[in-house]
Amino acid sequence: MDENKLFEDLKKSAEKIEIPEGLTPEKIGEKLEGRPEKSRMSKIFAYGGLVAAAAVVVVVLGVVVPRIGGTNSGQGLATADTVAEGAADETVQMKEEPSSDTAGIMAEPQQVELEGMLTAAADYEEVYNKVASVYEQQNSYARDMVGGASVDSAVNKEESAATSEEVASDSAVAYGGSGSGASYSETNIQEAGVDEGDVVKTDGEYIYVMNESNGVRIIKADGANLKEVSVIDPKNNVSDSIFEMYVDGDTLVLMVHRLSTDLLQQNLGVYSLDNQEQTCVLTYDISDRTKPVLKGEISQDGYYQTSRKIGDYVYLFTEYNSPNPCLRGDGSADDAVPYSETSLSDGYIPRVNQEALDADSIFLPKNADSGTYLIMTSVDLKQPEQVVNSRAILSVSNKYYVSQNSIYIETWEWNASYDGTSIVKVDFADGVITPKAASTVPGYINDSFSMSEYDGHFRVVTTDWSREATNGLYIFDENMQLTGKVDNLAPGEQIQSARFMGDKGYFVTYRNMDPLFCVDLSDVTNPVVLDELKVTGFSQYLHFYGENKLLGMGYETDPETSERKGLKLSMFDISDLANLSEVNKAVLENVDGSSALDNYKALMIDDTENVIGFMTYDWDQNSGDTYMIFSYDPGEGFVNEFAQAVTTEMFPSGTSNVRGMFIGDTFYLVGYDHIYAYDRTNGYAAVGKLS
Amino acid sequence: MEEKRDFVQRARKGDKEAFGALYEDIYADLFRFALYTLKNRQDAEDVVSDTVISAYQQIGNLRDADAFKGWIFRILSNQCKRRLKEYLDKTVVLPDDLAADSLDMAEDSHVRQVFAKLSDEERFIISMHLFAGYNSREIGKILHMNDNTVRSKESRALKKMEQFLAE
Repeated sequence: MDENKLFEDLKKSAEKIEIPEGLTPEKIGEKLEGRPEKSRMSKIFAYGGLVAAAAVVVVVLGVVVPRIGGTNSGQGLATADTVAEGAADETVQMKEEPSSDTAGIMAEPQQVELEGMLTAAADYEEVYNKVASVYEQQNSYARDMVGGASVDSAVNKEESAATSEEVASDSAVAYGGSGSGASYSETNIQEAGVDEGDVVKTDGEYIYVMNESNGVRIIKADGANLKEVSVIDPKNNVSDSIFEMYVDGDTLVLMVHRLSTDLLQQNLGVYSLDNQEQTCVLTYDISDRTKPVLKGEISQDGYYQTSRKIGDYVYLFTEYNSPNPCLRGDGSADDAVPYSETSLSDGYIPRVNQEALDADSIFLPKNADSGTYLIMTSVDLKQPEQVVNSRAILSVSNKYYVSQNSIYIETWEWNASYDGTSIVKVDFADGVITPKAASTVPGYINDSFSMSEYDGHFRVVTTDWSREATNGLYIFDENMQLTGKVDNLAPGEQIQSARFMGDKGYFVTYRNMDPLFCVDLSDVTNPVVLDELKVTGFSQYLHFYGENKLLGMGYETDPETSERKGLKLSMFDISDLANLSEVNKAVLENVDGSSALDNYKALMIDDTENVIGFMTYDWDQNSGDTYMIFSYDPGEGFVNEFAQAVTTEMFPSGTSNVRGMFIGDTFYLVGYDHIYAYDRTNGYAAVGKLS
Repeated sequence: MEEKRDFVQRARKGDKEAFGALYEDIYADLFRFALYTLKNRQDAEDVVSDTVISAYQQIGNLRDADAFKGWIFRILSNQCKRRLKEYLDKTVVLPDDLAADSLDMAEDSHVRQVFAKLSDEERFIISMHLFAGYNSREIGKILHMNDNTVRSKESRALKKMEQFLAE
């Protein structure tokens, strides 16, 4: 069946849906009758003395991290080793949050009691049976549904978690470096020392640009002179695609998706197609830029989620869906077939480098509700043909935050008794990956910037939707035990952005555009909050910019109507924490957004060079995209240095992955098709182009 | 088209009938979108109703008269996104009307049942494509993904549906 046919069938299925009486134009017209028009509503708000709408609160929290004397011992963490010795019931303990006391920082509105969240499997049969039980349960739901019962199936729950947020929602910047002496821009990352892949990289001498379907172009960049020196094509076949790359010295690393199709003999004479989806890490020696040499390739099952590079180690995360053991060859579903020798080769156990992971490297949740594995693998770039270590968790994952020492994996908590988010902490050292501890927090995490590790403690800000939206900040020790929190902040608003620096945390909350919430707006004070600053609009991304300054990037809004008025840059002075101020702002009217707000790696930012560069877009397709560069001057505020319309004529294969970067005095607009060079010392005059 | 532009201009000035005329054109698709995304009839009706009221109050902000449909679907999709997020917090299990609905021919309800098995995000992406007429770039902007990701997710979802249909 092709996709168009499916679309048609779906469309047809929808046409016969009966539209509720209450939604007919007549009924809706009656509803609108009773509504004040907007102009009148504004007056009512003003008269009532309520602060109308859109107050943005930048909350600065003095995060007090209590010293915790505890060690890891006795925390019940199952390491692969202990389990391998037969202690199959050892578990990663769910840390119970401290019980409520009435006042102050330790008050806990929602008591959690979850234990034994993750257990390393004793053998493959245990893994298989877990997967089988998940599918059998889904199977029974499916049968109920076909029978007409109204069941919100676990199938859907499991799968919605499986897809979740896009990987790109991860991470931000460390800039500046020196290759050929000149400074150059680096990919905007979240955590210093934890590198992140992107589609464009530079080392100050060469520009590396990739696209999904072609490969990598290596281009010698000498000011306006641009020359392609080689092309890397990692594809084995046409369906392969390339996700991201890293460049470090003479090493280039590619994350490649490969879909291999094999013919499997199921029974004698019965064959089926087996599509194996794998993500591969390809490591190239580029000491001779004109002749890149593939030094090694590793593969693992599943679809690329994200990756990080710390020193010589690359960490790869993929999501892998186990086959359904309830499915029969004729397409019918029944109880799962019992475990057998062939279960291993049938794909029920995740494979790395074509070999099934050891059972004790596979961690099973107590209440598994998903046949999806998260697979984590480390590769030492000095030995790129082998993996250092691999672990899998039979669980869906959502957002990743990676510090220098640990990976924090957030998954939505489906347990009906608790509204919140689970966070699994996985330690790594020299490539060895060890699930360490887990905990839960109330509410949901906005993006990876809402998480941070500092001095052994993990900090996270969340928005809890269980009643009215409220926001909280939680601090955990190295064993994921709660040490402190502030919550019930900014009711009715939700976190839009967050950034941590040392022992300070900053986050921005904002109320939804829903006019009903506008009426409910009220101020919140909390003893732990040092200051809150109300400005119009809201920041969706925060970035420390020079000494005592915090850049906010987001939207300006009308405080009465919440109407978005354009893209906004704010510079906050954070030198006096008790007295924050917005010292400068710029509003770009008629701009609907920026790719930098969708993906922070698309932001070019360097406070030393004083450049802030990003692509803007307009919903009205006619006016299209514009790349803009600003500098910041405390007196003059944001100064627009450069604005260039970015069109599909300039970049025929698409503008969505176009990045700005600079090397020395030259600024480059980089896409796979073309690179355009501009002279930074001469008003960004166009000086060269690579075709 | 000209006529619609007129309606938008009039609606912006507070003309309820003009707004009603714009609404009449698309309300069925608004409801289908909400039902296919949320799976529950009552909730779908609620969000569409909220969306219309919200749109009516905000229509003064709509700059581009041609963009009415895209604009109101954006409000609706944000409401649906929020509702989906709220579901995660709720302990109450809502009836899955999408899978259960058996008013029409078996074939149609089968497609719907299979569609109902997709994840929230997958249903959301396909519904935006199907009922709002968004392309992958526009969907990507709403979901904060790049268009390639949207396309690959959609294609994975459709493959999944094919597999379910074959079962």
